[in-house]
Amino acid sequence: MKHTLALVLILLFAGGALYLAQHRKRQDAVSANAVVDMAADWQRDMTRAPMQFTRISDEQETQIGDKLALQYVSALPEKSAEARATEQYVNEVGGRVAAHAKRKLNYRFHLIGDANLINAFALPGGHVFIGQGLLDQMTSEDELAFILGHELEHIDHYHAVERVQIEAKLKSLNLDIVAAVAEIPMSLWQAGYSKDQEFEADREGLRIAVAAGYSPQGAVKMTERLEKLQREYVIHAETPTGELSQVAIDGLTGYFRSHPLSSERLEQVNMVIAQDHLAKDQPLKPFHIEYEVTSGEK
Amino acid sequence: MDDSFLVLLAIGALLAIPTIAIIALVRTGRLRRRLEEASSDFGDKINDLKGEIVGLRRDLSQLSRRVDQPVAVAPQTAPVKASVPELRIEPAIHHAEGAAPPPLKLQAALVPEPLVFLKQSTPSAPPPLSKPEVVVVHDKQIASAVVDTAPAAAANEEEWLQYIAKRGATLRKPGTSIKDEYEQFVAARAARQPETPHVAAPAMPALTAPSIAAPPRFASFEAAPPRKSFAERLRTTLPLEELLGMNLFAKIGIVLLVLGFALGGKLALVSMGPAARVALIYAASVALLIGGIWLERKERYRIVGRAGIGGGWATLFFTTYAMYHVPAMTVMASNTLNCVLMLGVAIAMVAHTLRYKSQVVTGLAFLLAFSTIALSQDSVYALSAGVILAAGIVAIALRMGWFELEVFGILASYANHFYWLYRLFPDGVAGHQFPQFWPSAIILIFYWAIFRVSYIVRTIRLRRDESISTIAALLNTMLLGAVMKFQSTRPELAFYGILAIGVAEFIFGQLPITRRRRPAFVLLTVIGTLLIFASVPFKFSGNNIALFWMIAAEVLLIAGIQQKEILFRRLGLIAGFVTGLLVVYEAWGIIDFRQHSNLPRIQDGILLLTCSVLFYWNALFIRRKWSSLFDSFGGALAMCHSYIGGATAFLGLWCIFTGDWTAVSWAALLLGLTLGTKYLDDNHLLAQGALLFVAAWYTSVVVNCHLDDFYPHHIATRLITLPILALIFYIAAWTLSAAKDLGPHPRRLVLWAGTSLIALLAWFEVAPVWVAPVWMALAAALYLIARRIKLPDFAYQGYVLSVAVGAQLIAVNLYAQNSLERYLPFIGCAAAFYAISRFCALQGAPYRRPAAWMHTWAATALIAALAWNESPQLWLAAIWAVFALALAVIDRIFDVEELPYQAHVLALLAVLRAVTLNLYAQDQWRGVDLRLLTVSIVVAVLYTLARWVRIPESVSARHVYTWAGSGLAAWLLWSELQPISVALGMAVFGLVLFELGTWWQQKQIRLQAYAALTAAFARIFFVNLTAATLPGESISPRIYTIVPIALIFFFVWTQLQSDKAKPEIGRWSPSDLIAFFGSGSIVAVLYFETPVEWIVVAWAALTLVLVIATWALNKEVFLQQAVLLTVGIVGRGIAHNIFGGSYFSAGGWRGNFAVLSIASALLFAALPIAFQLRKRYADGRVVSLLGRYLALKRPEQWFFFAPVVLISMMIAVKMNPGIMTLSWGIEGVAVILLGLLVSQRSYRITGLSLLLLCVGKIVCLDAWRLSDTDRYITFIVLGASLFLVSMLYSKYRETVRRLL
Repeated sequence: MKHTLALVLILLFAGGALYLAQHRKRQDAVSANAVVDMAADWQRDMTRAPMQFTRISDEQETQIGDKLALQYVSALPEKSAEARATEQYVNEVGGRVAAHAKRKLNYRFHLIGDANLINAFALPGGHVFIGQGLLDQMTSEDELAFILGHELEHIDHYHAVERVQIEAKLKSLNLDIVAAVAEIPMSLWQAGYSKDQEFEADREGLRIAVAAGYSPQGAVKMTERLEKLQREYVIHAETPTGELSQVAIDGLTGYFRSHPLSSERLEQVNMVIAQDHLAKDQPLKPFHIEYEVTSGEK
Repeated sequence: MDDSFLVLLAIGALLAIPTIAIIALVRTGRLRRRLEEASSDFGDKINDLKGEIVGLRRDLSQLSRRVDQPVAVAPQTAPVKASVPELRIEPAIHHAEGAAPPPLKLQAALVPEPLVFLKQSTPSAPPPLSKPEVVVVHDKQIASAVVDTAPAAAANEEEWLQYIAKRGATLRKPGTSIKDEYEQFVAARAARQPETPHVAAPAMPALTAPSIAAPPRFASFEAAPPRKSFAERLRTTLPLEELLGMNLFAKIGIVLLVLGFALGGKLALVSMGPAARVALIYAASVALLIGGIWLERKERYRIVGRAGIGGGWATLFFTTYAMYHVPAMTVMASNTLNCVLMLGVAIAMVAHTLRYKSQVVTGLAFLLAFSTIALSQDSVYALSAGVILAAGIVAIALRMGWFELEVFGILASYANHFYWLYRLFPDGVAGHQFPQFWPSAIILIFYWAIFRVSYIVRTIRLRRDESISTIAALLNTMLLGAVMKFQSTRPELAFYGILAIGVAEFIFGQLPITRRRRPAFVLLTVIGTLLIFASVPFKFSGNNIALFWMIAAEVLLIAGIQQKEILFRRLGLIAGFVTGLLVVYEAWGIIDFRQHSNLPRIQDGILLLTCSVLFYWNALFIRRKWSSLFDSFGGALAMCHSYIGGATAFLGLWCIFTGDWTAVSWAALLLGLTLGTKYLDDNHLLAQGALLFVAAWYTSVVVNCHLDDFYPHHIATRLITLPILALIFYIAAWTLSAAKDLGPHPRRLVLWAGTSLIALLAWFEVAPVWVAPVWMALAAALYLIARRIKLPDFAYQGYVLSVAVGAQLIAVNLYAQNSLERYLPFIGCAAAFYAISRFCALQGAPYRRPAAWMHTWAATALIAALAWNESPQLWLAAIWAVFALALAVIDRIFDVEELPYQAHVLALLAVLRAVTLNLYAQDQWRGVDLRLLTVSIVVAVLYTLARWVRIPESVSARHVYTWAGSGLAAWLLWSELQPISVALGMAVFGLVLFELGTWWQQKQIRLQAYAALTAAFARIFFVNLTAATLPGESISPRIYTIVPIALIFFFVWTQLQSDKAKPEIGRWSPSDLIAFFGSGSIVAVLYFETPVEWIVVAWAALTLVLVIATWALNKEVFLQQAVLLTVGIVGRGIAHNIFGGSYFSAGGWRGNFAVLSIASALLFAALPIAFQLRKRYADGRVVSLLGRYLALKRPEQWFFFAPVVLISMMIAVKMNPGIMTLSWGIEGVAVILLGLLVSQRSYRITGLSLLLLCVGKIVCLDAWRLSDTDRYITFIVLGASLFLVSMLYSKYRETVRRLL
């Protein structure tokens, strides 16, 4: 009798949970993110101690970053006048935010004129790259400041340089040799960092953006938009085996693509705003890009 | 002029002094060698005597010990066994075991020598009676001798020795010898044996292998062959090293030295004049020569010495050469004089080196002599020196038996001559004026004659000599031909030249002196014959060549038969075979001709058929007539003639018969060959017939079938020739069936060919949609004929036709436009298959059952295919499933044994169909989801089949159906539910299956439940844990979807505990795994729901709960989980909370004391319970593998060391160095106190270690590097080094061996 009663109760409980789950407003994506998150966090934690003991100097970090940036920039197509002006504008905003970083490096900002690139990434030593696609998603300068602050904090908190150190260890690269550094592909930086590091970059990036005079609502708006984008990109497999293979491929190729869910990032942004008592009603600054088109003839 | 005179004087002096010194050294060396030999012999003898004395003393002492300690001391000798050959005294062994003692194996060699020696060494001092051991040993030796020769060898030696020892110093009775005493002892023992069985002493088992050390000279004893050690095996490889180090290195080194001197003479010593250089290098040469001679006398350095001699002579020769030819050393104006000098040196060299009877050294001398000629020859007459050298080499080779040297001589002579020609005409003589042709040819002929005579007249002692002589003979002819070809200016003479040499070689081969040596006779006869045959194409061409060759071959064959000489017969047969190949090659053009023309070639055909008759004559008549003269090789050659005859007949028929009649003619020939096979009992004819059959059948298909003309066209010749061919094939098959010793395969092939032609005829002449029924009818007819005449081949052909029927139906009728043309052939053929399934094989045939099965399978497959073609796609799975159910039901009623298997296959197809199509369908059928409807039907049929279908082999096999049904149902769940609900749905499904499995007592159902639960657990890691809370949701979806799953896990675990917990898979129970799933789900939820810094605290709290659960429920599994989680806490605490975190923020890695302290406190809180658990599990209840690995008997260690490690690391990383030391000190004291409190030694040691760590906290390590440098090696230094290595190898070769 007890057994039957317990069984019925459990089935009722499970039925209720099933009802709630079936009537959820959003279809959840199937992915290996949970496993990858754990693996990435553990990997990052396990490498943290050796990274602290083998920390390279800021000068060497700057040299490596300069080499990588030179290589990546030289591979980009020539920029139009509009792109140059946009890059100038990004440098101005980034400079204001970078003034509040803890490490005083020579921070520089580059624009990648690819409208399909909805991403930004940072190199060790102070180079930040942002895609035109991501800029197209923004409606205010505050959002740009938050994104740039986020990337700056990846540099500021040694996330980028640790990535170089790990990559050098994995591939047995000698970082003193230019050719060895050149073997590090751009995709490594576009892949993102571990969940903890992304949270940290969000948190500290928001703080330095606000310290530079920008509204915290820029971070809120930007995170909300990213969540919307993420929902649009959820693709469901047609078979269990297809789902398995999709999960396996995503898990393998997206090892570092362990950005936390946008909803969790939004939750953290709101928490920081509340904890630090940041101004919620500060107006957002619109984009203000100025450029001049000339024919080149005198 | 003066300078030249002085130089010559100096050279003379330099040559004279060493010569005198050499003579003196040679004489003193001889005397010394004799002295050394005498001394060595004397020393050896003394050593032998010493060895004998030592051996005898050792024997004496051992035997004395054994007499003193007859039993107890025996084991002490055992260790000696490993190092020396054993001296087995087996009677003692067997007697100790109570068995009959075998005879002693001491041999006479052991005894007489010591006795004689003792008598000789102590003639005036007989062994005193006060020393019994001496007497005993003496007696024992004698006893051994007696034992070895007397039939009473079964006496126990040990007892005899004991008897002698007991007797002690008592004298023997006067007039009795020790032999008599021993015989008395043996007789007394034999009489005593039955009453007094031997009682072994307690220590006797150790005596099972007594042995004593024996000196090496007693190797004749029966001793186990010592196993080669690794070092010994390595030593066996040392000769290679010796070869390199002592031999090759010396030679290479000396060559390098010589070259080095040459370079030095050319380039170095710039300040010296040519004469001084020549004098210096002469001195070096003489020094090398003298040194070599000196070293050669010592056995140890003999190889090095000979290398030195060779090098000295080489340098001497080079210097002589350089006096005219090297500008920097030119001291001589006359080339002739220089040539004479060089020849003189070379002759001296030969004369000297012959003393050493070394082919290598003499060969080196000749090499240099030939080099001299090569360097100095200006006219053809200068080559006469080479003739002299060749004659000299032949003389030496014949005298010394150095036939290798003659090979070198042949090479050198012809190479020298060729070099002379090459210098005159680098591209060959042809087309140039060559006045020296005849002198050159005469010299070459002279070379050939000298070496050929040498080959004929030599006496062969060893087989190896014959082999080398053969090489020399071959080289002689080949090089002669090659050089003659190079200097050929009139090709028209080649025929005569080759013919003449061939005839000469043949005649040489027939000489009586040659025929005494069979290899020489064979070789020269073969060479002669080959050359004669080879000469023909130089003058004749076309069929004339074949004509001459054929005549010569027949002549040789007939001569061989008449003379009974196997060589002639073989040569004749080989020549005939080659001629046949030539004929076939010439006639092969008919193939190309037939590609574009069908005109008959009557003359060629008749010629080829004539050849065929000749070859068949050789093969079938001559060989059979004189069969005793044909050995296996001859028979094989004759067999080749038979094949050549077949080939020519094949080609001849092809020349005469064209078009559709070619295949008919070949088939007729095939029939003839089969008749020949039958009446001549010659299987080679059958093999030819097989090849011919392939050609005939291929041609009949490609040509006679007229592949381009299908129905409705009709070809008259096809209708005529194909039946004729089939008839011939059938007759040939009948002929072959009469041959008793043939297997069925040839006949089978021909039968198949006949039937295939009939089937092809039907295919070409009947409408495509009705071909299958016609073939079906033909197959049925074949089955009936096969049963009638009891010929299984027709049944096999029917099977193939049945397969063809199926293929034709699928390929043609399935796509017919008219439904009648689809349904009627399909159903008709299926019905025919079912009908003839029990009549399609011979009665009693072993394959009758599978043949019947094959037919019903074909019928079922045809119906299934028709259903696939005619039914709606989404319903096909259901139709196949129902068809499978119907077959199962029919089997239940009529007991048709193959139907269940067909049902299995149909069910499998239904499942595959559902998996590949139905599960993706989105269609509706009258408002019902078609996917749900059709898959549910399939699932229902599968569960029904699981109960109804007949699976006699294994009862559990029917659960394949339940597994398939459950799998489909799970997939349906996956398809119908939202992603986040799937895990929960699977868990519920698993729970239901588990309850059903328990209720029905079906283990397989429960296993399916476990699989579903496992899938549910895995699924949460891919959806549920990444599902974040949405705005408006009060409870996290992680919690409300995973917690029920965990509850289900724990509920199932509870049921498994109460349900007698019997193992489900082998000895393994899923109970623990389910419990791990439950706890793992909670751990995962905590990981994702708790702030990252606080995860360790949450886990520590869960650990505490698990420990309490272990204590309360008395379930070991929770303690396992607690221990594993503790490991995780330590790992995460160190990696994340201590080393992780931010570098800058206040919440980073320097501010988390509270988190780790709380986690440590929670772990410490589990410590009192852990002590309670230790008491509980201390009685050995922990039996699981995981439990043993986790050391669950000592849980208090885990819950102590985990927090201690965390705290210690926290102190180390988060505090400044001064406080760190203080903190570790305090922690250490606290830990020691705790250890004292709970009486734990490990705790106390930990505390002490912490204090020790405080003392030695700073350790500095410096590092250093090492670097390498390289050297440059010059030519002379390398040579000297190699030479030195060789010297060292020679000097220390024993040491090198010992080190290995």
